[in-house]
Amino acid sequence: MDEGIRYLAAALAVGLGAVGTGWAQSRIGAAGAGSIAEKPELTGTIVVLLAIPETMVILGFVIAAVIIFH
Amino acid sequence: MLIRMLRIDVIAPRRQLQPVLRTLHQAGIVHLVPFEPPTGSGASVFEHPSSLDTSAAKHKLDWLGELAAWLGPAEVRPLLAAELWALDPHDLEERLAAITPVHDLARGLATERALAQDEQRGFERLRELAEGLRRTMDRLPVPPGYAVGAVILPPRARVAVDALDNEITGLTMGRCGLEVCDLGSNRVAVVLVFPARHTDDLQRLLGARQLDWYPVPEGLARVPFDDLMPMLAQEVERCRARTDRAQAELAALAVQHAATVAALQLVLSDRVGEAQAVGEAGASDHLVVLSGWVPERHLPALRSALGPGVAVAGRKPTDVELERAPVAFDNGRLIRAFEPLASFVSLPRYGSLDPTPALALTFPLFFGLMVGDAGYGLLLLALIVWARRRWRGWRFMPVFWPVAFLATVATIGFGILYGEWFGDTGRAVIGLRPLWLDRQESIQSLLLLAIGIGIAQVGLGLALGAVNAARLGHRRNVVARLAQLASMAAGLVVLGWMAAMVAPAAGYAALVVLGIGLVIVAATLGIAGPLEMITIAGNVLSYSRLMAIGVASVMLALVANRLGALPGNLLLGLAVAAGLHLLNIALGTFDATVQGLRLHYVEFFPKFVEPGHVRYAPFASALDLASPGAGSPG
Repeated sequence: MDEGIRYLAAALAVGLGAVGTGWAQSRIGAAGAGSIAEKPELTGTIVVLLAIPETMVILGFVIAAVIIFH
Repeated sequence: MLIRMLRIDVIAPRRQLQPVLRTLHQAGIVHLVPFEPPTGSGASVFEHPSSLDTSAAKHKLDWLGELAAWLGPAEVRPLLAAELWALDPHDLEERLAAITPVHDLARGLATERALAQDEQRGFERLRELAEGLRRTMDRLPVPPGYAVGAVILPPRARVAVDALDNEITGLTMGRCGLEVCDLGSNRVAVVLVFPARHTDDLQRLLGARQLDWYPVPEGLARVPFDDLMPMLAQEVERCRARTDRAQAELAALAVQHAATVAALQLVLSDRVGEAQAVGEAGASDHLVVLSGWVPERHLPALRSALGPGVAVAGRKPTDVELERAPVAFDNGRLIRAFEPLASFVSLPRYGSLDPTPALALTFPLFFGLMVGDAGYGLLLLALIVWARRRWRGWRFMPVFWPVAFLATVATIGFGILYGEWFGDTGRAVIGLRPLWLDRQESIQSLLLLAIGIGIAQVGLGLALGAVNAARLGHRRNVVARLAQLASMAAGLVVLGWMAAMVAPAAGYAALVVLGIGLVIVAATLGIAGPLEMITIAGNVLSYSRLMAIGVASVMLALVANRLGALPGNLLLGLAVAAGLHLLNIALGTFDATVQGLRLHYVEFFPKFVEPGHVRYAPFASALDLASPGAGSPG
């Protein structure tokens, strides 16, 4: 039972992080594509903004790894 | 590093403005900026001379562009272009005038080619139409005084046929016939027979409905389809021959004149640039001043090019001018390839540290750390060596090749350290063992390594930030960056103390340092300062992606090997494993590139890179005029 709950917790840590990252990137990506269409010189800034939410899923993955392997 | 620039004013007698501009253009090393009168001298002393009228030259450029399009692409011959570049305006005008007959001839041939192609399309369409109609009739029913033509519609527009019939019946007062036939390929033709006097009205009506009209020539309208088909085939061949003849004559013209036209285009666009640069100058009654920036080491070459009659005054830029100084890089061949990546988000500010060497060192290492498989690395190396041979002339190859080469070499190196060759295939087949870390087992060690790299790089960023602030004379930022660095180090000691890895005395001392550091950060950066410390902690943790991507890569490689071993058939197993390994290589390469760059752009660079103003863009010809700088600062 405990083992099962650990795996469930690990899955939630990655899964919810991925959902959050995906949602944030979808909003930033859509707005960013519009901005780049009007001002191509903003490409670098938009790429950086798009990359920022990835931290959530990466940290979720780290937490999952700690839960499973600790 | 960034090139040291000098702010210069080129001062010459006013009548020499044009020759001086030509020399600057030829030298190709001065980044021109609009002249600003010295403090104290008003607009009454200096004025901006009006830019020369370039409308005629631009019109001529369009004219040449038209001719170049007819003649097709041509390479510029440097010697010819240099000869034309040296011509005075009168001689250049004569050379342009000499091209006029060629322009007229090419226009005629291009028109003939377009007409022949248009006619050919018409006959081909008619052939298609006759092919469709001959299934239901043997000739078009065209009474004397009547004309015939067709409209071709997509099948979904078939419903519009009735409306079209009504409109045309109204237009011709019922004196028309309409036949619909299937052409195949999802198209239908509507053939219209109507009184010839209504042709113009009918064309207007169809044009308003955006329908293409294909008239049947008078001579062919009453010919039986069986006789019509060979006639149409002949007409198509005749049109094709006309097109080929015009094309061949244009090609012959191109052999003779295309290179001259390309060179004239280049020279004329340079003349337009020179005429526009006149407006940047400042002029008094007798003097003219051109302001700009030049790499410090090119100043003697510039003085020698301009000669003794022209003064070049180099001076220390003011603080305001420094803010707007152009930025140019000067790095070795290998590091130079990383310059576009280092300046992708923003140029570093003039006078600050160049982030390119740091990127050149750590990006390949991060890539190797994440992909880390000797087999994948060798495959990628073979791929980029092939790409280099295949696309040697590709303009991005000088950037792509060094970056990709270093990244794949790092991948091979880390693959050997991890003991990985297509996942665990190396272990099973050749007994490969990890020399350093086993990524399949030591996930926590890998995580600690990633966080350690984060601490080192973010700490280095803060230290470089202090150096940069000192170089730019921002004392407050020097103190802030050093306080942040000290607070980060103290915070790590406190964490070690909490984990019982550090003696309590050191822990207490670190707490004091942390407290003082936060106070200094708040005092120098305001309330945002302590909040930025939380961001710094987040930045460090963000490096755990080095572990995450790496583990994901090795796990997918293991899955590929396990799935490859499942089928009893050797070939099928190899195909499954190869497919998954290729997918893993593609995903790993993409992820490692994006995440490796992201760590620099988001976590590392903001600690010390201040955004710059503009890139160094010397006033230079596209033609290499063998000048000291030849358009390049390096």
